[in-house]
Amino acid sequence: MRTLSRVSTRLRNVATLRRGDARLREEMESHIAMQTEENIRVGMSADEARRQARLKFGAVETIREAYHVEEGLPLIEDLLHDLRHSVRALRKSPAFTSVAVVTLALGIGSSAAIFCLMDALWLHPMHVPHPDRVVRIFGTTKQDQEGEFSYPEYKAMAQRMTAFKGPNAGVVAIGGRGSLMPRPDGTAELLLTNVVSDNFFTALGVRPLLGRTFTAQDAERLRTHPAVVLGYSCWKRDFGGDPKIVGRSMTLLRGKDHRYQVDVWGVLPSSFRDTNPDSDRDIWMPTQDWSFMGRGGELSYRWFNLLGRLAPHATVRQAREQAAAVASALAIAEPAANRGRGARVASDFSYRKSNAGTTGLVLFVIAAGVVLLAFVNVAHLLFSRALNRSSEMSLRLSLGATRWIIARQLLLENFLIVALSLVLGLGFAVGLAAVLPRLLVLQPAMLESRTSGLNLHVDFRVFLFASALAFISTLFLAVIPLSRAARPELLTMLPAGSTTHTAARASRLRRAAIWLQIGISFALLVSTASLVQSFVNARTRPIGLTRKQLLIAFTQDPGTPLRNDVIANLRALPGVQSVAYAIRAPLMPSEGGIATKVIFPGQPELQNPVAIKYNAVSPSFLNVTGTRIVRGRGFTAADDLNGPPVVIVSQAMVRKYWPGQNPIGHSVLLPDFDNVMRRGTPLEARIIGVAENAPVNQIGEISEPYMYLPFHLSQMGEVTFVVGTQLNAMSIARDAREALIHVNPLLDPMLLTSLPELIRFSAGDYQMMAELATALGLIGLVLTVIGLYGFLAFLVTQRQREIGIRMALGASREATVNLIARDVVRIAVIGLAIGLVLALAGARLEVAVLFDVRPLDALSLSSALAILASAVLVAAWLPARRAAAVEPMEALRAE
Amino acid sequence: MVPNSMKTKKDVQPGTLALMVLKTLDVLGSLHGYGIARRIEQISGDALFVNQGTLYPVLLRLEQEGAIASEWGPSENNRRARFYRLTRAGYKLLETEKRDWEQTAAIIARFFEVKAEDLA
Repeated sequence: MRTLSRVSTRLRNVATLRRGDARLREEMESHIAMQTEENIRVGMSADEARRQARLKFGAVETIREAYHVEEGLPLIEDLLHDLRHSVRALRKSPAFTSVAVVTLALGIGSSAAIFCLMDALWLHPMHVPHPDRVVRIFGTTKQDQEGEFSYPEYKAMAQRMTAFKGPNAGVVAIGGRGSLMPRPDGTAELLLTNVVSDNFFTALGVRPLLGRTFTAQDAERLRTHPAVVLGYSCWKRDFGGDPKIVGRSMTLLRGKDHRYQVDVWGVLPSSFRDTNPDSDRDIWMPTQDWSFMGRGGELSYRWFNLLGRLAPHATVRQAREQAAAVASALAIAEPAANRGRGARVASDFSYRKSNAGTTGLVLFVIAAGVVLLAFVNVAHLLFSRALNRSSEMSLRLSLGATRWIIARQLLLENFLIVALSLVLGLGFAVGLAAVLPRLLVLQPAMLESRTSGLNLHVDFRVFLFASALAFISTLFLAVIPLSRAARPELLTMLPAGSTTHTAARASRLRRAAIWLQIGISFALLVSTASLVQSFVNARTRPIGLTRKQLLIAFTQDPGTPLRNDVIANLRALPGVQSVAYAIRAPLMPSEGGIATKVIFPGQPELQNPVAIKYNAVSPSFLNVTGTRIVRGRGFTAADDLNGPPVVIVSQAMVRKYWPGQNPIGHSVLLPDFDNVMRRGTPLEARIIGVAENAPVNQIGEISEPYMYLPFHLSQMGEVTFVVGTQLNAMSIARDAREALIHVNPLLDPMLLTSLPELIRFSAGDYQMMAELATALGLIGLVLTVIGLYGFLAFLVTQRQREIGIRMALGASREATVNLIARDVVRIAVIGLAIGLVLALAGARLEVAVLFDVRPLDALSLSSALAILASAVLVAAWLPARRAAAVEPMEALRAE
Repeated sequence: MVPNSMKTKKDVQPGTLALMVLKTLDVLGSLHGYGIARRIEQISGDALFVNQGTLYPVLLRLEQEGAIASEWGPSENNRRARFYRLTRAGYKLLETEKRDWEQTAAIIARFFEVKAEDLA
C-alpha cells in the first residue's frame, strides 16, 4: 500500500509536471535562518553564523537532487527529456525526417492496405462467437478436395460424429439456391437463398437482429409451417428495413403455377451475411421449406456445404478421424454411389487461408518487397545522418555523455520516425481501403446491380498488422545506432567526410544494401510486367469465346412455343444480330457447371460411368458465343427430337478419352437422359464434332472434358438467351427484359448481363493483381531511385577529394563522369544479378496466377530492364553532374 | 540522470532516520523541519547528522507514503515554516517499525553476547 500510494503521487507529479521546488526552497531558507539565529544566540558573529548554518545544512544542490528523486520518476523524466531532445533533433533536419517518414509510411501503408484487402476477401473470421472452433467438412474425391454432400449424407455425418455433440456444438449443412419472389407488377425477383439444416443458427451461434431464428426444436413445426430468416441487405432492399416484418409472411414461387406463403421469423444482423466473406445472401430457410415447396427430391443431390462447431473438448484431429470413418462406412454401405469418396475436416481459418491461395501469397510477397525497400531506404538515410553527426556525437561523448545515453537518444529518434510513419501509413491505408474496392471487379454489371458486400475497414486487425510492421522496422533500424559504423570515436573529431576506417566500412555495407535494393526492385518489376501481360492477355487473347458484345439473359424455360416468341421479340430489338440459347452461358456465376453420367461403350477399362460437365445448346449457340468447331460439324436445325441423338465433345475430352484418335463417329451412352426410342435404356449419342476448349466457370481454368448436347435434351427447366448486338449489349438490357416479360412476367431474367462483363468479372483477379502489382512496383521503383540517388550523392561527397586530385592532375570532366558511371554500372550489374535470382524464385510462385504468360518471359525481362535502367540513369544524373562540377582547388581546400 | 552514488550517500541509514522522525513527531506533536533536525541532534548527541538537509527528502517520502502530513504555519519567531505531524497511518507505521527495530536490535545484541565457549 505504501509503495502504491507513493508511486501514484509521483506519477501524478510527473503527469502534472508539479514541482515542490518552491516549497523546498522556502523550507530550506527558513531552516537555515533558524539555525543562523540559533548560532548567533550561542555567540557567533552574523556572517559566521550564516556560514556555519549553511555548512551544517549540507550541499543545497545535492539535497535538491535527492528531493527530486523522491518526488518524481527519474526514468520517465529522463525519457521525456530525451524525447524532447529527439523531437528537436528531428525538427532541425526536416528534409531527412520527412523523406524517412514518408518512405516508411509508403511501405507500411501499402502493405497494410493489401493486408486489409486480403483480410476482407479471405482471412476475416465469420462473425460468430469463437470462430476458431468452427471447422469445415468436405467430401473428397481424387479430383476434388472441397466437395459437397447430399442432405442424407449430412444426416449420417451429424449423427455419428461425436466431436460435434454438445449443447452449443453441432454439424450444420448449408446449400446455395435461388428463390423467386413475385413483384406487384407480376414479375419476380430472384432471391439468393441459403437452404440450411434447422440447427444452423444455434450451432454456429448466429444471433438475429430482429425476431428469432429457427432451431432444431422447431423441426416438426417447420414441416407444415415454412419459415424464413431474412438477410440484412434483403430486409433493407425489399422490405424497406421494416421493423415490424417479423411475424408477417411472404410469397415464394415455384414455376408459374405454385405459390407458397412462408413466415418471416427474423432478420439477421449486417455482420453475418454468409459463411464466405464476399458473399451476401437474401433469405435463409430450413431444408423443411425446400421439401414443403415440392423440391425435397433435390436434397439427395450433393450441393450442401458442411460446417461444424466442435464440442468443448474435441479437437480438429478427432473430427477428422470421425469424418473419415463415416465416409468409409458410407462407401461400404453404398459402393455404387460412394466408392472413392472420402471426407476431410479443416479449420475454418485454414480453409480461408487456402482460398487466399497463390493470389494472396503473390500479393503478399510483392508487398513485403516494397516494405523491405522502404526499410533499406530509411536505413541508408540513417547511416548518412549518423556519419554526418559523428562530430556532434564525439562532442557529446567528450562532454561526458555515456554511449548508452547517445544510443538511447538515437533509438528514440528512430522510434519517433517509425511512430510518425505508422500514423501516416495508417492514414494512407484508410485512403487506399476506400479506393481499393472500386478497383476490383466484384461482380459483372447487371441491369440492377446489387451493392457489393465488400467493404474494407481499417480495423483493429489491420492496425495490429501495421503496428507489427512498425515494430519490426524499429528493431531493424535499431541496428544502426548500435552498429559500430555509426559509433563515434572520441579521437576522430575530424570533420565528417574523410575516408576513415569506419566510413569505408559503412559504405561497403551500404553498397550491399544498394545491390539488394536494385535486386528487389528488378524482381518486383519483372513480376509486375508478367502480371500486367497476364491481365492484358486475359482480356485480349483467344479464349474459345467471342469478345464481341453479347447480352445474356438467364430465366426459366417456358417451353418451345413461348421460347420461339421470346426469340422473335428479341430479334425485333434494334441492333440485334443473332439470338441463340442454351441451359447456361459460359462464365455465368452459377456455382459449378451441370454434369451428367457418361458411359464409354468402346472402352471396357472405363467400367463405371464418368460424370462430365455439359451444356445443352441451340444449333447456332456455339457460333454466336464464338466457340469454334475444330473437327466434324456443328449442330443444325435437323438435330432435333426427330433426328438421331448427337453430341459435340471438347478437345480436352478427346485428349482424355480418345487420345490421338478421331472421335467422330464414336458413341457415348448417357443414362441420365431418356431414350425416346427405347425407354429404360441409356440414350446413345453419336459424336459429330469436336469443339475447341472454352472456359466454363473461370477464365484461365484448366480445361476439363466438356460436352454439348442439342437443347431439346435438356430437362433443367432453365434457359439462357444469348443475344449478339452491334452496340454495347447492356444498352438493350432494359428492352430485352421487357421483351421477355411481355411473353410472360415469370420470364423476368434472374441474371441479365453481357459476355464482355462476365469476361471482365472472370478476369477480375488478373485485373486486381495487375493493378496492385503496378502500384506497388511503382512505389518500389521510386524508393529504389531515392535510395540509389542518396547513395551516389554520398559516394560523390566522399570521393570529392580524390576527384579533386585527379582533376588537378589533368583528368577531364568526362573522365570524372566516367569514373562515377563505371561505379554505377558495376552496382547495377550486381544488383540485376541478385534481382534475376529473386525473380527466378518469384516466378516459381507466380506461374499459377499468370494467364497465358510464361514467367520470366523475354518481354517481362526486357521491359523491367528498360524501366530499371532509365530509373538508374535518373538517379545517377545529379550526382554525376555534381562530380563533374567539382572544382579541384575547392575540393582540396575543403579538408 | 542522477548518478547512483548520490542516492546512497546518506548521513544516517535511511530507514533509521525515518524512524527517528516518526518517533520525534510522536513525542513532540506538530513540528517544523528545523525543529525535527534539532531534536534528533539533541537526543543522538550532535554527532549523528553531517548534513541536516538530508532530512527533507525523507520528510517528502514519508508524506508521500501518507505517514505524515504537513501544512504551512508560523514558527516561534513568526517565520513561515512547514509543520509536520503524524497521521493515523503514521502511528501504525511507527508501531510496526518500532517492533521490527526492537526485534532486530535484540537479535543483534544476542549475537554480540555469544562467546566461543557457548557454541562448543
